Amino acid sequence: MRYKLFWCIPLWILFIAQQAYSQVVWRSVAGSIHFTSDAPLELIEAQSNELKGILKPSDGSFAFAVEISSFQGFNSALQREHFNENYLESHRYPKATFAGRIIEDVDFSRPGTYTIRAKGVLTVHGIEHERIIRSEVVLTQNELRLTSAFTVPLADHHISIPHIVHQKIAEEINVKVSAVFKQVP
Amino acid sequence: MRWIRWFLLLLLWSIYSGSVLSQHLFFRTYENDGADRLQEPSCLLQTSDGAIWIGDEQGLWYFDGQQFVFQAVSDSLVGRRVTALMEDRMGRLWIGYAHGAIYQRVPGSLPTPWLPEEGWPAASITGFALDKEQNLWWSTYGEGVYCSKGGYVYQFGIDDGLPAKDIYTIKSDALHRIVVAHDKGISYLGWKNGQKKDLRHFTKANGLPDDIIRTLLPGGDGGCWVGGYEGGVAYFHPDKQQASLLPASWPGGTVVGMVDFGQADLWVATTNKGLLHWRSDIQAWDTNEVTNWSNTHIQHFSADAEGNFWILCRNKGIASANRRITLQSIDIPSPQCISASDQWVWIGTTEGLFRYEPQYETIQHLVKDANIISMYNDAAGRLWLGTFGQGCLLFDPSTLSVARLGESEGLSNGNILSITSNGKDIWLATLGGVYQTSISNNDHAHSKPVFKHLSHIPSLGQSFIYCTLTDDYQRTWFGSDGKGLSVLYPNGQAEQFMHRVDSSIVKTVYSIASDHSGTIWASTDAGEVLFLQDGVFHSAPFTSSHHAGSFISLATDASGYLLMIHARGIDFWDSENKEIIHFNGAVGLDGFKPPLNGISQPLNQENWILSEKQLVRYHSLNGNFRQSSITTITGVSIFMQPIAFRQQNKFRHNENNLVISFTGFWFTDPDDISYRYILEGFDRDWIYTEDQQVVYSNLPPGTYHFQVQSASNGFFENASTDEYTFTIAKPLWQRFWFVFLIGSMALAIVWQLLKRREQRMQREASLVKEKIESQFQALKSQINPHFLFNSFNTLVSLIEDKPTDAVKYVEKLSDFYRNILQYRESDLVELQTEMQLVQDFCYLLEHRYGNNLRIIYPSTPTKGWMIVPFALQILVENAVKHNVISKTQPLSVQISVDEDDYIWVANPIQPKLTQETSTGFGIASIRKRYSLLTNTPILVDKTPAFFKVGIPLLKTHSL
Repeated sequence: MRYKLFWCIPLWILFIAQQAYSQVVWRSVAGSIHFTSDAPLELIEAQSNELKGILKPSDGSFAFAVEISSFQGFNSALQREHFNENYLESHRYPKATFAGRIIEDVDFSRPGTYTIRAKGVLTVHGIEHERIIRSEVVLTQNELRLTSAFTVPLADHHISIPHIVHQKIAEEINVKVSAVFKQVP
Repeated sequence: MRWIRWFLLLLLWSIYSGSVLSQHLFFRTYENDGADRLQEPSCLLQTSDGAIWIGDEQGLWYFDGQQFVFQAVSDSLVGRRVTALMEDRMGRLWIGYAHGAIYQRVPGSLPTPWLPEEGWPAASITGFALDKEQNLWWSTYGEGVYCSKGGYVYQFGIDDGLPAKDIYTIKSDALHRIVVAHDKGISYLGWKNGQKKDLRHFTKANGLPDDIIRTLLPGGDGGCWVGGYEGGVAYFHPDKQQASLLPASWPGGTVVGMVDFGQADLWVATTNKGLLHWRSDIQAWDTNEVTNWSNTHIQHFSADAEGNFWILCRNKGIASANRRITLQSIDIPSPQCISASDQWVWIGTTEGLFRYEPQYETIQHLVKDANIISMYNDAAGRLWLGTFGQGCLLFDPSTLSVARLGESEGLSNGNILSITSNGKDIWLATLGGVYQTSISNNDHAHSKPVFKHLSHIPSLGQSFIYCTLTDDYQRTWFGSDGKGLSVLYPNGQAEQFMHRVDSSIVKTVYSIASDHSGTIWASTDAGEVLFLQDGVFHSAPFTSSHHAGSFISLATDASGYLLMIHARGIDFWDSENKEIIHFNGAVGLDGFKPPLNGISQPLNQENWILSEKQLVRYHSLNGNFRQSSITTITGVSIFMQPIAFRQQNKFRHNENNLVISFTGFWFTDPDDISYRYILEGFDRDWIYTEDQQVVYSNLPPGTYHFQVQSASNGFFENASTDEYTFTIAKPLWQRFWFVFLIGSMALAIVWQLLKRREQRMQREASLVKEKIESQFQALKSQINPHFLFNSFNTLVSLIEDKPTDAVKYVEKLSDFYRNILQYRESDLVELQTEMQLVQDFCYLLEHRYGNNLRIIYPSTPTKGWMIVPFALQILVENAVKHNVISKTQPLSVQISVDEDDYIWVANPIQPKLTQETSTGFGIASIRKRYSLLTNTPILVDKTPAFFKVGIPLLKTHSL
């Protein structure tokens, strides 16, 4: 009986370690998202520092979310109101999310710079769209810095622009994301 | 004793069966030595412009049949392995690399990276495919499948339900469905309603030969051949969801490539078992090619547009073979004629009859002691053998019995050169005319046929008949020596044809063929090929040097196209597309010496062709295979500088040194290609060449249309053409607008000059007129009596009082008049001179007015200035003339020069009681003369107290 217990100890430790490893999660401590609409007549820029992200190195899965109403920095307060009420309808669809899995097998225990491609579902304005988004990742001992740039065509997310303001809002919005992740046990 | 007989039989069998090698494709291997060497090529593709592209360890290569050219892309891709190639409908070449990069090449330019926002895979690209909507798909080894659709790249991975992420290959089937092969079978990928990912998987449970599927080959009906890792090959149709395995045991090996030439002519390349051929006629795998290719590590196997196989393998490099020709060496003494039946190939020789069994590669000597020169296989399976001098032999393969037919059966001439039949009657062409007998009367094997000599039909010829043929219209044709070609109609009528279209006579016919359109072809003793139209012979349109000096045997292939065999090879003639293919040493024909009856009638897509040392199986390819070369302009250089000629075709006048390179892609026999080209607008006629480029230097300005054609065999009718139209601009000075501009400018200048000259002359004329007037006026004023009277009065008083002053006075007076005379001709005088004149004048006046008149001269230096003559004098005179000068009212006239280069004559206004009448000429004259010389105006400043006139001074050099 005693021997049996003795043998169980290493197995138990192994199990705990395995559990602990698979439970390691990176959580964003700072995240910003910035978009640009470069239309012929007007350049609109806005930014939100309330981007939240979580990343699970064990299987490469991740999730990002941002409150639509947290975007700041439009050309006018009225513009921000239109953004929230007319186009993104933030009262109905308060968040934009991107969740999925990283295509590459990245070893998150090894510091370095990686180009990764994240495959996931991008939900904006309540419309889901599968996307592959390429990102630069800089891994250090206890920190992960992510930067990414991609475009979002408005039509794909059923965001319709009245014809009158067509020249003021670009059909494709350029989005830049940067985030810093820290390991959370 | 029985065993001795068996032993002898075995010995005999083994001797002959050992003397043949198997029927095999003739593979040509391509050497590329030196530094530029292919290293482990793994993929190959022929694009629609004819070029072959090969991917290897180092990158991308271009191959035209003669040389391999490395395609330098960019430094970052040096040493990058190319793993996938595809051409899209716009002729763009897609290139996939082992490190995941994707490049595309537009015809006529260098490959450029294709970079979607989502980036490239980090895994090796294993294939490309296009779906119905022309979306690009690519498979990877490690990351599943990608699809570019509507501006996005999507991935089909394990999380989408794809059973495996290592994809071996991707194909688009006949219905443009995307199918991929992996370790868990095959998957059909697509989009449901254009949006949702749609995946269907099929495994061994669906009848696939293996769990691991390595290769796919789409079939014409929407199905797909699948090749497994070790389970062999099956045909899978997604609608039936069930694969059908081939009904034969798999010889073994991993399938790396498949080629289907249609009609169950499937070829499979394997890693270790070499090349396998599925023979539908015997429902078995033909492993003839195994020996050639076993353990050569075949990497790639495909076919090009001409029906050539291409093999890439690690040990042998790159090799190609034409599907139409398989051959083997034979060692049979003096073969003379050949005939094929379903099971056997019969060969007649001087030593008798041989039977060859292709399925087992055995050969047997069945009939001996007969010089067999012609042969006919009748519907009952019997062989009619025509001998040279020994009459006719009737051979029954089932019993191996031989019946000799000779004079007793009515065959009075025993030299039978050719035999034909319409299924009912049989005709023998002999050196003594035509003999006929009926097959239907000879149902019993024992009763011998009776021959009838057709001597009652004179037009058939009564002596040497070389050949005979029954066509599809039941007409029987005879070729004779001396009497040309004759025909026996089914109704017993006969006709003779000897005349050519140019009325010359065709006497001897060696061979006859009837093609699919019913046209009768004949070859003559002169090595010509003729065809019969409207009862007269015409020369074949393809007559070329290949035929000269040898007799030609004619036959038709399985599709009814003409085949000609002769000492230089085999010619195939497609009379509809007017294309000829010449087969010779390039397809393996070696020491080719076919006898006159050395080609069999077509059977199961094949003709057997006999030569002294080789037995050739000609497989006719149905379908859309190219029968002539593809001509492509491969490059244009201006002064040795390559340009993107598909985009650029307008050149400056000095860009007139062009090198145009072209290639005729004909991989069946690349060395046989020759070219002709014409530069419309420069060359008068086609120029024939073997070179692959042409240099045009110093082309005059104009629009040119370059056309080039390539042909094997030198036969250019219907040859494929590539063309390039370009313009060399006229130099600037030859263009209309430039000439017009320069002309009008010159005209304008001349007109300007003329106008200015006219103005100048006008001015000069008026100046002269003014001058004359002023001289007249000056003279008039100076010799006006008043002045003279006053002067003389002064003089008289001086003579009395101061005789010395009087002399001086006269001198001044004469000086004054001399100056007037001297300067009246001048337009301008120096200011000093004018001042001197004024001083002289004033001296005369001062004597008259005494101290009552004061002239104040300017203190500033007066050198270098010019003035109109008498201007100052006139002004001073005016001042004196119009003002009172008395002791109580002395007059002081001031002459001064200001900083604006004006000289002023000023005097206070002291009006006389009786105004002297003024002609007003003085100032007006000065003004006029000045206006002709300068734009600077004369200033008159008149106040109640003062009167001032300013005259601009002129600088000497400004004139």
